[in-house]
Amino acid sequence: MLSEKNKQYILAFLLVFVLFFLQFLDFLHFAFLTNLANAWKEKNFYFLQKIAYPFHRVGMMWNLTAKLEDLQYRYNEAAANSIKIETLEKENQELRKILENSDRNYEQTVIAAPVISFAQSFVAAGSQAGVKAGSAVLYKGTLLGLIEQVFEKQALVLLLPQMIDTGILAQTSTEVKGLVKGNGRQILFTEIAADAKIEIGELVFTSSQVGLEKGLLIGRIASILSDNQALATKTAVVEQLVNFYEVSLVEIK
Amino acid sequence: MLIYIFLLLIILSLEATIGLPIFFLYLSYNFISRRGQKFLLSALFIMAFVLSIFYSLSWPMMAFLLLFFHLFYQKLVGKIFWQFLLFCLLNLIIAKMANLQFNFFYLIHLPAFLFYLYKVNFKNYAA
Repeated sequence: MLSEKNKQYILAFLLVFVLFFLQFLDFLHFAFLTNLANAWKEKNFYFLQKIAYPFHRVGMMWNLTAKLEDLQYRYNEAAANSIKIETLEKENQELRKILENSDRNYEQTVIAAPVISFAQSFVAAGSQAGVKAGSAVLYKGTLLGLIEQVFEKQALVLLLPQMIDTGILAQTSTEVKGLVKGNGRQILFTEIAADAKIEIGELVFTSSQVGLEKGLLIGRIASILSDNQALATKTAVVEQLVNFYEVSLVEIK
Repeated sequence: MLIYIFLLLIILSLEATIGLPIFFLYLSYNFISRRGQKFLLSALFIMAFVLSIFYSLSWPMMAFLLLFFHLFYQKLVGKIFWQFLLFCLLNLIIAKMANLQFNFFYLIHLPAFLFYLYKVNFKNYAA
């Protein structure tokens, strides 16, 4: 026969079996006690965290060098990005200035950066971008020059002071007409009728002509040349308000 | 005795917060193992119950595990290494079932338990 000890073991295992059965029938619910225990554990956790915090800090010191290196790398990356953003911001502001308060038409407009090499003035857009010879180069509505020669990825700009052989029909705000040409260094407002009244500071705009929009600002009259009183026409020096070599973006249309 | 049981409950709650119930299992089993068979088996069920509450496990499964542990532990009397191995196995099963993760607190918890074991069991032998 079974000993008393073995009987107790069998009873215990039988009880375990009953418990399994009750669990299977979903009668064993201790949600309240489990929640209570979890709340207790949560309090313990806060308590233990407070005790362990100094040790945790010491542990963190081990990774400090690696973290510092990582931070330095990220800082360099951020600095490089910051420069990129600064350049983009500047470009964006220039674009905004070009677009602001301007009447846009359906003509194709190309925006490009000026390129200056060997004292020649180029723009960083060519036939690939749709630039055509004779197009006007503008900055905020001010005429800087005309496209003289177009290459695949760039175009040569004939600036107004360099326009020695050709000219642009122009007029002042008081409707005094003339021809704008260059002498290699300055912009001259030539062929002005001798009796026409022009004043220093008056603005000069493009006049109606083939291939160039009317009303584009050329500059303002800086001085009037009156060396030879016997001539039937007079000449004035025009000063531009913007410089091609100083702007970061120009408009070609 | 009541104070001791309350102390055991506090130990279990702390251990359930950080990981394995090594101190609780060791101390409570030592506490009940020298008692009568009826008390021992009943206490095993209570131990299984509190463990199942604190570790969100199945009570019958814990009771089954503790009964088996007790049976084998009795058979290995005198073989400290095997008893220790059995104890480790029980803890590993609980860790697996409760899905316990190794954490920073184990660095103190486990060495403290090993030091306690050494103090209680081996120091006298060494002397």
